[in-house]
Amino acid sequence: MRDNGLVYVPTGFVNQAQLAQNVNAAIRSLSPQEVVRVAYSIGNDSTDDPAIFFRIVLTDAASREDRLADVTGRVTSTLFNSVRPIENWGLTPYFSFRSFSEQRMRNDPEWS
Amino acid sequence: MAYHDELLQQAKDLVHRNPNNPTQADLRRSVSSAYYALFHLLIFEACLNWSNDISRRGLARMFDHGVMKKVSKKVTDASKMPYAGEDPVVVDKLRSFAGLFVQLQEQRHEADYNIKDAWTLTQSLKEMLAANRAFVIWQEIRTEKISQDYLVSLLIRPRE
Repeated sequence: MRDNGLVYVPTGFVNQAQLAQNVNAAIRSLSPQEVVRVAYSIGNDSTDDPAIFFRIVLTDAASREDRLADVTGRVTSTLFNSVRPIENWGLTPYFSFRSFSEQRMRNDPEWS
Repeated sequence: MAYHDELLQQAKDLVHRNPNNPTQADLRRSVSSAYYALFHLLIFEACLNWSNDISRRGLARMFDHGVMKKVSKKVTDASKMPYAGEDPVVVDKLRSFAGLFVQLQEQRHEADYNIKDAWTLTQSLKEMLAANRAFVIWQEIRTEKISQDYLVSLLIRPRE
């Protein structure tokens, strides 16, 4: 079950407000030509370790296959290097990406 | 063609099979094949170091997904694995490779077991491209000492 409630990690409780501040600062540095929005949640991964799950909606142009590797690499690096989820928060980061059109069709609230 | 290369090719074929209307089966199996391509690449590379040909098959069976993920997570954590004195370029590449392995194993788990959330073409393409990237990185660092140490460590459950 993944939610944004209090999550216990080996280094203590995650301060959700501080984490949100950190993540939001990182999101602001992403290019609006590539990224439409970023959602995230905290929970446990499949091996029960504390994790942060980023769900990133890309513009349709940035989602084209010939650009996807570069764009996802850049977005992942920016979020990883700014938030430092492993060192600062004890959270393993995971990154999932959808295009704007795909998200509009599915209207999945977890990605909104 | 080696088995891990066949699996990566299968991941590419499946995700491209019907781009205008991809099936959930193709998208999910592509992610699964992408992960297993990486899993078998590591086993293949580790077994190359075992000189006794007859024992290689037995050695290959010793690899455990959970242990490999734990070890790879540790490699991505600079506080646990500082790699002091090592070439920072190689260290960065090994950390990237290990991070891609962790990501792909998790996504494989989601693709195979979480039926509630539908996969999209972009999600699956991204995982296939991640596996492809990991193959490229591995070719660049496979002979480095820290990469060889990483291969050995994949067989050993790390201490908490």
